[in-house]
Amino acid sequence: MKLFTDHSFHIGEQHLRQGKPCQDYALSGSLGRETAYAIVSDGCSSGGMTDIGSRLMTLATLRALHEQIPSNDFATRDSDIARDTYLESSRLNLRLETKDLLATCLWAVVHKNEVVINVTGDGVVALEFEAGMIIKTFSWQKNMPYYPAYRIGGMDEPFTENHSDNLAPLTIIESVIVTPGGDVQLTNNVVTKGVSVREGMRGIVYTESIINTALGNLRTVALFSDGIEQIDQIETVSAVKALLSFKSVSGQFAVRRMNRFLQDVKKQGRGPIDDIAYAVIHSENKETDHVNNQTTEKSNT
Amino acid sequence: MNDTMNDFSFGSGFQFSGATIDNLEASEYTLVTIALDESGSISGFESQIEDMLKAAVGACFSSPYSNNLLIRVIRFGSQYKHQNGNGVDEIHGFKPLSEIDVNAYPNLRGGGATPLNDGVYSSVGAMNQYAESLVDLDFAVNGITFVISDGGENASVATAKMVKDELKKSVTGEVMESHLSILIGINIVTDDMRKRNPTYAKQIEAKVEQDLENFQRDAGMSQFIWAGEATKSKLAKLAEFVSQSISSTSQALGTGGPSQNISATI
Repeated sequence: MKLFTDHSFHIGEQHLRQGKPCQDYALSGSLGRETAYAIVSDGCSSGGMTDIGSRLMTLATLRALHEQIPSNDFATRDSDIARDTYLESSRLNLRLETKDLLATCLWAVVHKNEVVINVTGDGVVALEFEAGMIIKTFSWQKNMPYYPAYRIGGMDEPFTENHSDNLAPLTIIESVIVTPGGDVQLTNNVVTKGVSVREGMRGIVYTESIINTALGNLRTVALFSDGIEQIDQIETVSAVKALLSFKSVSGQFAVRRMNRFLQDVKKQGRGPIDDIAYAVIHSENKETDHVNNQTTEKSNT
Repeated sequence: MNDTMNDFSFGSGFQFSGATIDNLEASEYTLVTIALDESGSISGFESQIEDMLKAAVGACFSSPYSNNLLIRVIRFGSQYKHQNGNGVDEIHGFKPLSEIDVNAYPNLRGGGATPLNDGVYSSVGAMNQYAESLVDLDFAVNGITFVISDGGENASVATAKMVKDELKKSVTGEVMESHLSILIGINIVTDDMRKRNPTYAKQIEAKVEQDLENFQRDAGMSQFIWAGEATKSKLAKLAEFVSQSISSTSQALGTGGPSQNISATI
């Protein structure tokens, strides 16, 4: 199995107009042999300097994931604890406020035969298999997602209070899209699940095999900030599909795809209203699939 | 040829090489072609033209967009007719600047007639084809071509129509975001000739300038610049103009705007 990674982020129309920085950030790369990561963070618009917050969140997560390499147990919650420790330490060193760190955290690690995904906050996760795609959308009621910095800053209680009127403020919508022409038949392809505030605050962690019995081998794991759901005139699923239609996975393949996608969508409308970020791990299983000799590390330089 | 470069062919018998696309690390590139006339009339000016080429390419290293340049250098003269590529010899194909050693450029040796059509056709045709391959893979691409000549067409395989069609294709925005093609005329009338027969020398100068201007207009190249005498200082200015134009073209990448003429006083 050969893994290729890349990531891209872009300012949305609102922040551009308001003279604010892009508050989304993404990273991807290798964690060693046949292990790759993707991380996305979306800073809260009404927070403080969350452009810095989202970057620190991403970097703290990467550091925490590195610590899991010896055990190869990425599904554990240990990395969340380590991430929060690094985040708080950065906050203190830089004399930042908790509101500067208000940012979501989505990460994925492909290791051996599985992919571990961890979502704290909102955003979209896409798993593209040979014969179809699974898209999971995570959204919080009142557009008020949970940020790990709430825990660090002792703000869990007011957050819970804000969602006290709803037993399941986090909604996960799972759509399965079968590639036309595939021989897989799925009758019920959209599942909506409500998640309690406590469960959502812990972060949703799930593990998928890289071989789906119905959809075949995993090709791509992609994490998106919720900016993917706010592109003028473009449905989320169409946007996800377009951003994953790589013609090559060499070099800055996600950057190139994002740039071309933005060019195209701006012909139809205003483009992304909110900042948008995505990080991708692409897997190639067959020798014949190889378009080049690039390794994960090389593709991300 | 090595595994970092790929071979391509187009038209009837024209060839070029370009960096293996899968090895390219940036997401956008400015393609640059510098085509040098190596016909007999440049005899005596070879080393100045070589210096100009080295200075022009060398100056690109200090551009903030140096990592986004892919440069091709060719020379044209009827002495290359029996080689692949018709009247054109490729010194190197589209290469990242970091892989170019200007000190390894070969010495020029003037000889033969001027296949100007071949030079321009090879420059623009190769750029169109390579750009198309890049654009297909989501790279953002624009281009700039410099053709430096001291005389009009008299020995090509490529027809004027072929040249015109390739140039037209390059500026419609279908292939590249934008493309600027600049024909630069240099005057190779020697001081000796000027002293011996000043009237004749002037007539020659005027004819070359007029021929090249007509060629630029008829072919549909973006701009014609008469650099004047091929003196050391003029060619140094020309090198500066070439590198600055490359830099401006890189800077314009992503704006989606049409090619703009670059004003020059050489």
